[in-house]
This record gives sequence, C-alpha cells and structure tokens, in this order.
Amino acid sequence: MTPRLLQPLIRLHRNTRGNIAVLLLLTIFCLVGLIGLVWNTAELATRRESLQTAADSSAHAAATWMSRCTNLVAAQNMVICQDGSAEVIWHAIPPTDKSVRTHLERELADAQTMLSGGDPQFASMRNRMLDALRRVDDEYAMASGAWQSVSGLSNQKFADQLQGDNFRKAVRQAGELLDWVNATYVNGDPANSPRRPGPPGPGGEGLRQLVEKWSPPANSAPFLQAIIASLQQQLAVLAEFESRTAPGVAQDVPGRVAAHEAEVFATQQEMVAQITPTISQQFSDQADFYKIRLTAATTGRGAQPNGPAQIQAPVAPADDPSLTPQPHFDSLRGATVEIDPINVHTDAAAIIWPTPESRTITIAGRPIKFTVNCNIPGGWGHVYAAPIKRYFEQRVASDQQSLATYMQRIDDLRRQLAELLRQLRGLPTNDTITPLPATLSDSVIDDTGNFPSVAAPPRLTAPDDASDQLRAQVALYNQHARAYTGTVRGLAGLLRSWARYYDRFTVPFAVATWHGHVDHFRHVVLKQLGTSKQFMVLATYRLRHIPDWAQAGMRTSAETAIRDRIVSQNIGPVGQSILSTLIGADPSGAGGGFLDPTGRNTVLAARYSPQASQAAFAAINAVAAEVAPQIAAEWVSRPWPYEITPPDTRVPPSQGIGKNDRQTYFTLIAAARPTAANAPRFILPKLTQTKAPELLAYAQAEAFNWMEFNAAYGGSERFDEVASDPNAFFIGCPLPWRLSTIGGWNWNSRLAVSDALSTSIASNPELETFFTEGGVTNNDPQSIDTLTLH
Amino acid sequence: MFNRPAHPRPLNSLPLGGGLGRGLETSKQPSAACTRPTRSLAVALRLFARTLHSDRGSAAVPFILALPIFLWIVAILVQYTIIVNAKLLIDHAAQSAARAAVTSLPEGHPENVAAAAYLGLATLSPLSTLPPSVQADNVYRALQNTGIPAADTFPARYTYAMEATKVDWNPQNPQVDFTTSRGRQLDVTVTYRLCLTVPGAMGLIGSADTVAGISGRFLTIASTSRVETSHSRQSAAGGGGWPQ
Repeated sequence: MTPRLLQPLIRLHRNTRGNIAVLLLLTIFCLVGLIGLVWNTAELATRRESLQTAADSSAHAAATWMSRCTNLVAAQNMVICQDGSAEVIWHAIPPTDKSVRTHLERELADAQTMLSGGDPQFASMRNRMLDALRRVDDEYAMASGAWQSVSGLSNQKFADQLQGDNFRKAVRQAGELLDWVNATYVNGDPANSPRRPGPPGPGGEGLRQLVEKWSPPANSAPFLQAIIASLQQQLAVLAEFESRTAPGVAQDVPGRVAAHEAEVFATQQEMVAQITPTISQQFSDQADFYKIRLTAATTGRGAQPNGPAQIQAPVAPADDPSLTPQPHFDSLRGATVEIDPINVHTDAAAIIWPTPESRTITIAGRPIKFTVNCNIPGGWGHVYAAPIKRYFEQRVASDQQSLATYMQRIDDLRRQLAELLRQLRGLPTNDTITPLPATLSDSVIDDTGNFPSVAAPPRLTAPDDASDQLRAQVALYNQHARAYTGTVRGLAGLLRSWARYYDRFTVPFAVATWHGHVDHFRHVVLKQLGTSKQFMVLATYRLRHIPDWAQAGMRTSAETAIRDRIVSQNIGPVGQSILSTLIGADPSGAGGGFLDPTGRNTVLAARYSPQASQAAFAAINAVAAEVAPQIAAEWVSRPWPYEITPPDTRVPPSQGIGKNDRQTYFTLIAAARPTAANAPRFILPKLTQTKAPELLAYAQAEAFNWMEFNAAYGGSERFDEVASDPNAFFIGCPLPWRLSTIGGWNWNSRLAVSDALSTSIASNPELETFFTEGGVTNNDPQSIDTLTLH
Repeated sequence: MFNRPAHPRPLNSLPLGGGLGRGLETSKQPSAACTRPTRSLAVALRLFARTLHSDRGSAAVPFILALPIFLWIVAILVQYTIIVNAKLLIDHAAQSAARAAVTSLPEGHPENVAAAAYLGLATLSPLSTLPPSVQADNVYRALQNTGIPAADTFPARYTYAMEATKVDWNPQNPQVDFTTSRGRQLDVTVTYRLCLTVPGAMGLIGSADTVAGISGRFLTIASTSRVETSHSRQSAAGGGGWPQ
C-alpha cells in the first residue's frame, strides 16, 4: 500500500506534462544571463567613453580659453605698439615738415635770386676753364723747357758717380712723367707705358677734351628755371604731406594715445580676470550637460582648499610684483645696480665702460694722442620695453613707410632734376674724373726687378757738386713742375665743380631727414612705453641668468660684437686724427711742400691713409681687445629678460617652452566622475556577481604656440649668441615674440600626454578626491606615469 | 507500490499471436535440458511484449533525441554572446588606443597606443601559459602601487593580451607640418585573437592555433577607430634652425 501522503508526488512523477517548460525556463535564465553580460559590458564601455569625452572636451575647451585670451592679449599688445608707433609718427611729422620746408624754401629763394640777379660764378665758369687750360699749356711749356735745360746739363760728370746716375735717372723719370701728364692726362693720348693709367675722363677723355665737351653755356637761366620748377614741385609734394598729416597733427595724439593705451591695458586685465570664472562656468555647464562631476587642476598653482583649481591665462601685467627690479653687482663700476626686467640695463643700470680710454701711439717719431669711445649710446645691451620692443620697432618701420613716400617723391624729383641738369649741360651719367695720381710706375725696372713708383712728377735734387747753373735750372724745373701739376689739378677740380655745380639743389635729403626724426622719437616713445609698463607679458617672462651651457658661447659672441662695434665706431675719428697728424708731420706739408696747396692734402691723404688706417685699427683693436672681454664678462654675468625659461641643456631637443613652464603655466588637467544619474546601470548584478566599477576619466590639455618651431618667429633664436633687432641693436637673450608679434596670435589648444597628472593630484585636493574615489588611493608618481597612457 | 507494473494487464492478455502463446501453454512439463532456456526466453519475450505494449518513457525518447541539438544551439548562443561581448570590449580597446594615439604619436611614443589596447583587453583574456612579460609585471605593480585592485592573474591575462593583440594605425608615420595643418586623420585598428571556449560551438568558427601558449580555436576580431592627432610638443624635423 502506498502511503496517502505520497500520492501527490507519485502523481507528479507520473505526470510528463511541462518537461519542456522546465528546460525552456533554464534556457531563458541562461539567455538572460548572457544578455546581462553583454549589457553590462556595453554599459561600462559606453559610460567610460562618455566620461572620457567629457574630460577631453572640458580640458580642451579650458585650454582653448587660455589660448584665446593669450591671443587677444597679444593682439592688444600689438594695438599698444601701434598706438606708440602712431605717436612716433605724430612727433616726427612737424620737425620733418619744418626742416624740409626750410631747406626747399631757402633753395628756391637762392635759385630765384640767381635767376633775377644773374649767376656770376656760372657766367665765368667757361672762361675760367679756358683760362685754366691755357695756364696748363703755359706751365707745361715752361716746365718742359726747364726740364730740357736740366736734362742738357745732367750729362756732365759728377764727383759722386752714384749720385750722378741717380740724378740722371730722376731727370729721365721727370721727363717721362711730365710727358705722361701732358700727353695722356691733359690731351687724352694713350698712356706711354702699360703700367700707367689712361686719360682721366669717364669716356677716356683728357682734360682738354672734357673742357670742350663739358663747356658751360653762357646763360644759366634754363638751368635755374628747371631748378625753380622742380623746387616748386617738391614744395607741392610737401604741401600734400602737410595736407595729409594736418588732421592728425592738429590732434592731441599723445594724450589720446596715452588714454587709449590705458584703456587697452585695462581691457587686457579685465579679460584676463574673466578667464577664471569663464572656465569655471564652462566646467559647471559641461558637468550639467554630461550629468557628471568635473574638476579642474593645475600643477602647483591655482589650488583651492576645496574645489577645482582656478585656471588662468598664461599672462601677467608688466607691472606685476613678480617683475620687480633685481639687484646685481656691476663688476665694471664696482657697485650694485637695480636691473628692471622690463627696461633692461638702462639708465643707472646701463652696462657702461666707466673710463675714457685715452691712448698715445708714436708714428713717424711723433706721439699721437687719441681717445677710443668704448660705449654706445644708452649702454651695451640696453633695451627699453623689452617684451614689446620687437613688434614696436617693426611697426614703426612699417608705419613710417607710408609717409616716407612723400619724402621719397621729393628726393626722386631732386634726382630727376639732377639728371635733367646733367643732360642740359651735356654731362654723362658717370662724370667721374680720375684725380692726377700722386705716384706713377716707372717704365724701367730697378735693381730689385720691380717697376718703382715715382712721384708725378718727381722733385729733382741737384748733386752736391752740381754747378750753379744746374742748380738754378733744377730749382726752375721744380718750380714749374709744381706749378704745372697745380694747374692740371686746378683744371680737373674746375671740371668737377662744374659737374657738381647744381648738387646743392639736387642732392636727396628728405628721406634721411624723415628717418632721422622717426629714429629720434622711436627711442623717446619706446622709453615712455617701458616706463609706463601698461602692457602684458607672458607669465613665464622673467629676468634670468644665461644658462651655464650657453655662457661660453654668449661670452664669445658678445665679446666679438662689442669688439666689432668699438672698432667700427672709432676707426673713422681715430683714423682721421692719426692721418691729420701724419700729414702735419710730413716734411712736404705746411710750408715745405713740393706740390701745390690744392693737391698737397689729397696727395698726402692718399699717401698716409693706408698707414693711418692700419695704425688706427691696430690701436683701437688693442683697446677693444682689452675692454671687450671685461664688458662681455659683465654682460654674461647679468640677468637678461627671457620670455621662457632657457633650457638646461644645449638645444635641441629642448626647443621651445620647457617642461616646467609648460606644466605650470600652460597646462590643466580635467577629471570626470559619474554621478548617480550617470553611473553604469548593470542588470542582474547579483547573478553575474558583478560590482559596478568606479569610473574615472582625466585629460591633460595645453595652450601652445606652434610658431615655437618657426624660424621666422623665434624658433631659430639662440641662447648662446647675441640677438639683433631690426636696428642692428643686440642683446644677450632671444628677443621676446610670443606676446608681442604676429607670432603671438597663434596660440592654440591641444590634448596631450598626461605628464602633469601626478603633480596635479598632489597639489589639487579635489582632484585627489576624484582619484581616490576612482580607486587610485596612492599617488605614486612612477606608477602614475606607467599607467598614464593618455 | 514501486513493484507495481505500469501496465497491470497479464502478459498472456497481450496480443502476442496464438503460436507463441500456445506453445508456452502446451509445454508445461519440459525436459530438464531444455526447460530452463525455454522459460527464460519466455520471460524475455513477455518483458519485450510488455515493453511494446507500454507507453512509459514515450516522452523521454524525443527529448533525448532533441537534447544534443538543443544543447548545441545553446552552446552556439553562448559562444555568440561571448563573441559579442568580446567585440564590445575590443571596440572599447580601439577607442582607448585611438585616444592614446591622439596624444602619444606626435610625441613619438607609439608604445602607448598598444599599451592602451592591452589594458582594455586584459580582462577579456585567458591566462597565458607563457611567463608574464616585463610590461605586464610593470603594469600590475603600478596598479598595485596606486591602490587599484587587480587580481593575481592580471599579469598572465595582460601577457595573453599582448600576444593576442595587434595594433596598427594608418598612416604609419603621421608627422604633420603644423604650419599648414592642425593635425592628421588617423585610423587605429585593434585586432584581437579571441580564445573560443564553448565546446560544440567553437568547432564551427575560428581556426586552430596556439596563442600565448594556449592551444585551441581562436577567432580574429578587429575594430577600427578614427581620430585626429594633436600637435606635437617636439620640433619639426630639421630643428627649425637650431644647431644639429
């Protein structure tokens, strides 16, 4: 018998209905599990990617704001420079106008006076030339005659054989050279020796042919009328210049510029101040949009006790407290100076060689005293408004061009007038007349196998036992030879004077006048800009010392530059001083000269110039070699205004903004965590034994300037060489450009490898909290770097 | 109760045919030599006849016949689901690799691109029988040092991921002249050799191979992600004027 209690079970056992249903149930359960697995994976991947997208876009957007602000600040710096340039132009216009007008009106008055009252000098020019030519012929006849007398008497025997031979040789040379002067230089015949020059005229003419070809007309009226017409045209151009500039000149440009510069500077500061709240608001909006939590962090700055870091644009005002003057012991003065980071090595801190370098050298037995100027105006390496000087200079150079066109037209009219006057006078374009040489090559080889140089013509000295008659003839020859060469030089000078007769009306001067005034006021306004400090600089701008690896190169470069400058600025005056002394010391100089006074200085200058130049160069170079290393040593020991921290090692590879600067001033980290609304939603978590992982995403973004790598905008600037600006002024560091040139407009944002993550976690508590919640409980820098793939 | 036959009708009531029944009935006294087999055969025949006449297990037969096919279909479903799951993870790994390529390739760190993919695929990977790679150990240590939980098997899985994953990008050398362009479009492709594990289903797909010391059948799954590279922190070729 079956127990009653077991009956339902027995029925169930016997019942085959629902067998498949059980299997289906198991299958469905399995399928649901599989679907759950896929769902969970998809949910995790999607949420993680969404979180990464949020972090990326937030970081990129914040870096874009940093870049935008930097670009705008750069543009506004350029506006400030443009204002300054306008002020330079405004200042330069009135004195230029006054100077050019005075010049032209005086010339016009002179021309009109000459036209109405005649031009006696012009009228006599033709006769003076003909008279000079006649005197040349006369003097040649007398000199030639005297020479023949001497030559006739030179064949007698002298007690001293050698002296006699030398005398006869000198007589021969004198004859040949007199012949060359007459035949070739005056009459235009080919040279009587291949080693002697041909006729002096630009077309191979002698002086006689030039007198005939360049013969001045009797009437100067056509020339003066052309001059007056041209001057009136020039004045009309000047009137256009005045008309164009009058509206600007009438205004208080300095006042308006100062007000505008202050306004722009205020706008810059306001804009920079707005960046932090703008980025904060943007983070907040993006967090709302993605339904996540977002934080911002930076390396070592901007950290708040609780909350995200305040992201700032990488700029600072030029009067920022961090840019206060830096004390420096000046080895040249033996005193401490204060170096202003904006106006570097200026005024009291200028690099000045303290004592004048007076030297005395002895040449030809005569002591020559001179002073070498070892300074340049403003001091070595001085620069006002260093951060914006580069663009300011470029802007002034560009702006002055438009008004320089008026001055260019005036100068062009003067050149046209010169050409017209030349044509009217029948002068060639090249009107150069070769001066009568001081020496000429002899036609006979001497004992050394060379052709000796002989004074043209040589001064004869009678032998000791010469007869009185010979002595008298030699004296007569010397007198006539001197008179002859004097008249020849006089004629050549007269022809030159005729060629340059109207130069005072035709020499260009307007452009030079304009540039001179622009240059003057450029310095004035730049100094004002530097003093006011109403502009922005890159946050990394600092006074810094030249890096160790670059000091040797910089010292060499600075020493060379300083030495070259000392030599180039002194070679003229010192050389002239030496030359004057040499000429004065020459026995044929004042009172005892053989040549005529007109040619004496020319001849002596030509004779002593090489010696004077060599002596001057040697003397200055000796001073420069002594002074330049000391100035260079002071140069290298001083701090210079670097826009970025110079690299610790020789470049490349550390070109451009260095790691520390980049991470501290140009970088931010954005981190994202999901909220409850946006956390992964797993299905069947208990069934799959899956715990939703803590999601975390981060991104590093940077503001960068791709022109770092452009050689035209600083990519090629060296740290171990002096840098030159457009005005050939040089300083001891790369010239700033990132915030004051058109290269400064090219700041951009980029996502970057997160190399600032560990330091950012350490200095930003909220970021640290994000990472702790995300499972990173220990900020181990090396491990973070290992895991930081993006 | 349990001895009670499912079909209580007597054996002889079964329509077995007269001959056999009769024969059994007429041989009531068989000889000693043949009586025993005859009786056994009769019992067997009775049992067989009873089975033929019984409907017990009639539902189990088709079930047994259908079960392998059913299990096979389920196995295919499981394997397919695992492949779909793997595809999702490989897609995610491709995204991670592409994200790494955006920032790492311009900096000259292509290893970061592959590492991003390995990290994403380690959880999908079986345990490699090869010794753990140095990189796997480094990543494991880094995870531990930063407090991120990682199983002991992580190095073995990461090693498998390294062996089974290939990361390519096109163009191979995405250097860009950034004076004229902001970046360059880049296709990052992650190819993964998925180890098939479901018996019955894995024979239909994939191919036999040995990956990271594991012999079996593997399916190659690829995913491509397209990105645009960032600007490099490094200078352009040629040094931009710097001394070489």
